[in-house]
Amino acid sequence: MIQFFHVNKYFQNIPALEAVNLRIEKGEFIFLTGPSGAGKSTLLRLLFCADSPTSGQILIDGRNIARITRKSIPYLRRNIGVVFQDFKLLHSLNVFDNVAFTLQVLGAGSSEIKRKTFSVLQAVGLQHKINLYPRVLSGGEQQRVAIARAIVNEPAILLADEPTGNLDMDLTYEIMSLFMRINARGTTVIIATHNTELIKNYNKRVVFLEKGRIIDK
Amino acid sequence: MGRLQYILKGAMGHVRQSPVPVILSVITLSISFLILDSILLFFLNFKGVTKKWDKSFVIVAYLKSDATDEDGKKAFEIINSMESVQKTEFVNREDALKKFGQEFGENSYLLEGLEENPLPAYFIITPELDRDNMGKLDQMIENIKKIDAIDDIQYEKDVVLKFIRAISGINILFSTLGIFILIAVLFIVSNTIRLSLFSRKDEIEIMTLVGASDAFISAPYILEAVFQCFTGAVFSFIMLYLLYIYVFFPVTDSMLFIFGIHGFRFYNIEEILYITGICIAAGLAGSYMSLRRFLRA
Repeated sequence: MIQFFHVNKYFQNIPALEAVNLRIEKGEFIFLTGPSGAGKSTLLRLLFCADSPTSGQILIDGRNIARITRKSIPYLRRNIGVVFQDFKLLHSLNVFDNVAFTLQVLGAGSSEIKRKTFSVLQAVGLQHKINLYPRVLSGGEQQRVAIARAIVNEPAILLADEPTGNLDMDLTYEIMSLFMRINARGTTVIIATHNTELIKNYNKRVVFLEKGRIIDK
Repeated sequence: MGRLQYILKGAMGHVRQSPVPVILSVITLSISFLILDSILLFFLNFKGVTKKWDKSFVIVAYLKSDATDEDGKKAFEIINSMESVQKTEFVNREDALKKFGQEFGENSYLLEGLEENPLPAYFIITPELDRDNMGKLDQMIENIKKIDAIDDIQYEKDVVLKFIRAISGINILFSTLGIFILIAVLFIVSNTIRLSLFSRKDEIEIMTLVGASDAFISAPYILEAVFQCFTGAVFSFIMLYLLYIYVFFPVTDSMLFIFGIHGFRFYNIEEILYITGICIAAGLAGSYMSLRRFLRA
């Protein structure tokens, strides 16, 4: 479970988030939406400790990550997958190695790396493209590789910041159905998007942010 | 095993992917270490020479002409028991005359006409020279003067003081140069690692996102720095050895009066390992500086 208690975040006295109170249940699927600059990305960044709140508390499964030490951040991140709009793939590595990278970094054995990487690439439908490099893949395929990399170590939480921002409508729905499948396996999924049309197609909880505050809609 | 493999592959991968900066860095480090090794080698040899010079500094204490053998023995015991005395040699009147005659060489016959031996017995005292505390030497001389049987003392304090000042000056010069070279090494390694870090910024960002610890991210870069410094140190010793064989040794060989019979020496294995350790430590410090700055940015 994720809980925000009166969380504020300021960047040089400019508020990015103000008085945010939010509770996300385990296994829930949430859309974070709002106009550009509303604080969606900031909220996600607080969750994977890329930033710390100016004030307030953030609990993940009872652990206060607002006061987490620098040394503990990597251990927290091993339980959180993150997907970005610009995919953040390593162009010097092929599809397989991009996904296996997470497991290598986390110290998995070579047989485990092979097994889990093949399995997750199968789940995202890229098992036939393991030897290709990102530059020859379509945007949707690149995003699927990024998602595979984010979930290969089976994190409890998956965060996605505008994951379909660079994709056309068909690819967007393809990626969204992938997120739905991941959520169906029990992973908490939080997607930040400003695409309100997309949200309407899914019967999921929506948290609306405006000028750093959660708005009831 | 997977992580260790990854770290090793990572370190070697950096070298393979961007060999030019690494090669340039190794060449620069080799030259820096060569300067450092040369300075240290001269310093070691100079220290050896000054030790020999220390031993050649003696104090001559003359016994009174009316001093008995018993007085001489007592004086010997007192002098020998002094804290700052390394060695005391007693020369009786007969031996003093003999030595004096030897110094005259071909003209020693001039002494044959002497009816009575005019020379007093004396002690040749080799002190323990403590360059940081010359007061000890003064104190020792004062104590020797106080012995009843002692008539006069001869030593060349001014020469000793000049010698000590020269040694201190040279020590400071060598140390300053050494420190400058080590700072340069830190700077070179730190910059090479920083270049390496910037060229792999995306990879590091992803590593931090998926939960790699700072230590895991740093390990390949630290290994790379160790590799560069170790290779640089090995090359510097090879170059220094060639310089030693073809330049230093032939030049210093003609300066027997300075370096003595054993001449200008090269490092022994222990010293080589020790200096290599210092080079690697400087590399580690340089890479740590870059990594700390980069990972906290």
